[in-house]
Amino acid sequence: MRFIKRGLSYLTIASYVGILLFGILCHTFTYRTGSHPGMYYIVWDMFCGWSAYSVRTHIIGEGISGKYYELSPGPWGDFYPYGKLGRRHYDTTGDAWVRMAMNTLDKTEHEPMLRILCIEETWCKKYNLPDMVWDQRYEEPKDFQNYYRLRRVITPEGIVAQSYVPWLTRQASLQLNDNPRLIAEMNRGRPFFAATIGSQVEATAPSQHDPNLPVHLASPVGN
Amino acid sequence: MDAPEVISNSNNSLRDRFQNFFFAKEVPYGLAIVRMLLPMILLGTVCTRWPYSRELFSADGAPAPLADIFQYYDFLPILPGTVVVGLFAALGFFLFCSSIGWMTRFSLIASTILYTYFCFMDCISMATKYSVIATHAMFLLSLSHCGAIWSVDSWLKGRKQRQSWPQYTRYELPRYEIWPQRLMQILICLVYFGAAITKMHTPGYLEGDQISYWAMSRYNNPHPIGEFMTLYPILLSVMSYIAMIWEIAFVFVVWRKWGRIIGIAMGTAFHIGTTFSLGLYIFPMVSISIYFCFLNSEDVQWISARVRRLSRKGGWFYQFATELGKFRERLRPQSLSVWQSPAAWMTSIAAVLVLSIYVEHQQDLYGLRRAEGKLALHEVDPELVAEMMGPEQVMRVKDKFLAVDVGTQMAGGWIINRKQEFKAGEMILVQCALNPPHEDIWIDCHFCEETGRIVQRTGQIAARENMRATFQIYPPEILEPGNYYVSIRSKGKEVLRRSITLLPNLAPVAN
Repeated sequence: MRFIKRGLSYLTIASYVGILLFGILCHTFTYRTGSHPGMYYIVWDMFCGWSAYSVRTHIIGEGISGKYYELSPGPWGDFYPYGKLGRRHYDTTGDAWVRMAMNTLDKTEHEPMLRILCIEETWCKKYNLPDMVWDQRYEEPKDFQNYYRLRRVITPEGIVAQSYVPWLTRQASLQLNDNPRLIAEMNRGRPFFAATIGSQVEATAPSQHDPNLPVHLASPVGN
Repeated sequence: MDAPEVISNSNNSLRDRFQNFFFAKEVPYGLAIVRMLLPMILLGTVCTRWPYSRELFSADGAPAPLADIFQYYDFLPILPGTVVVGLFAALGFFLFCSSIGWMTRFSLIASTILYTYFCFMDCISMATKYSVIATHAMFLLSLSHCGAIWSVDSWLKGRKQRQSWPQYTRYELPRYEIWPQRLMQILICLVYFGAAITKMHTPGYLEGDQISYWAMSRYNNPHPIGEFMTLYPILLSVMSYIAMIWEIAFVFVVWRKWGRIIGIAMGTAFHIGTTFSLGLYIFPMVSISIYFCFLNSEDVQWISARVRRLSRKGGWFYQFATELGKFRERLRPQSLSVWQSPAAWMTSIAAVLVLSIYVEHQQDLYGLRRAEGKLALHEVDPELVAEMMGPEQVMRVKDKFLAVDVGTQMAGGWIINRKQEFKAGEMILVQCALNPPHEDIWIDCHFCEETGRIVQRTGQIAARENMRATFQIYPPEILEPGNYYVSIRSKGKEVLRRSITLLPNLAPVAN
């Protein structure tokens, strides 16, 4: 019995330390860190970087009357997990937006909805500074501006109909595309994949460039 | 071969060191303190979430399963609302029992399983890195004998044993293999090491930019000191270096006496610092509570000797402690069957389940059982909707700039002596901090008279990966003392301005 107990202790020590070290190595070399939910428990990425912009989320529903309604928080109130911000603002991936909206619609009295809109609100973080700190570093008055961007359109049945990248990603993309040479090269090298079977797969098939054979090109949307 | 050599070799072999490190027997003081503190902290987070548990974790709400982010859909079952309400209350009860040490092992195992499940069910407001660390610690506690001392279990057990044991064993506390405590220590070391790796991966961390943006954010609790510290980015940079070096060094130094004291003192200061500078509350509490796993028998003997000496000096304290001890003994049941404590524990669980479900039903979170009917949705202000649904907005030029600072000396890539008054002929450094993302951008720096006439103009390209652009201005000595300003311009517009006063140069004139 004593040997079994000691053996189990060895096994526990070896397994636990091994799993922790595996997590450290995966994290160090960015290897399969997103491969399994369990990785969240062994990868210590406590400081993933913070953006220069504050982001907030609005989930609203458009009724058939043309009126818009707040779908998150629900009319019963909001939960503030880590400070003074509601729960929806911490959902950076937007994975729970559909559930939040549908839960509110399910539990409330309302007119039929046309669509549900998830809108992102962004502003530069420097405007978060309190006036006392602002006055010490800036001579200009605060010139606060919000940027809004539609992130997702959801049907009343809870199906995501349209999805768009975050405002910051869009801005970075616009800045990158502000380069005629790059755009010209990008257009020349536009990616495609052939919907027909290639000659490498089936030797008897006609050449892909056979003028008599239609070539179906499928490019990624929005490229 | 002589005897001392044999003894020396056998004691220093790798196997013996391993045995001593993991299997030495000690009284589990450290783990007992962790057991008392950590579940109590988690209980606080459970209590704040319980009224919303139906919404946060159940199929009758809007859960956010962690596994969904990893594309593992339906990884764990999402339970019905009433079941979740009961289980979440039971989690609170198990955490409380773990803390007081009542049915410790079972309470800890149940707490670990339920806490992990609920973290998996809500990655938005429950699963964070502090909850992950806490889960690990709870798991290790459930493997240990942390309930053997300073617990209700030991209190109940003590009476029976004390009657049969001889007097000299009265103060002998049970000793157990130390390996769960060692695993918790290794966990802390590797967490810090991993955190240091993350910081190495994070661009702009060592320069202090990332901490600065974090201090400007409002995702956590208020942190006025952090906001104030954004005025001194060089300080943030220095602190970032110290934090990273400490996190790497921790695993190497913490095993020796002074290394342990310094490492833990710095860690405590670091975590308390994050409360004031970044608005973190729970994370520091969790981290500091698990530091007690580094406490060993010698530390406790040293502390208790000093407490005893102090209590003897302060008569009232000694008297109070004696009275408290007597009171505790009076409360102790005289005879308790083996089954009575587990039975009371099971009954309490049943009571917690029933009571919590009843209270939550009465609370009616969604207002579904109101006499007036279901709640109505709140209408959004049409003006706000019009603003939100407007045409696509492009980033303003001024939002690509964080600040402009003026001084004469630089360190760590920052101006360290921000000032407004300069002598004619003195070099003026103008530093323009940029917000990411920005394109490759041309920045003009104009040194102007108060009237707006340009005295000196310079400019440079700030590549998209650069967070700062620094300009040098040499105001000629022939300039009149007075008020001037530096204007930072981009795309033909002034985005930032900083006033400067030129003082007369009072250098001694040669005869």
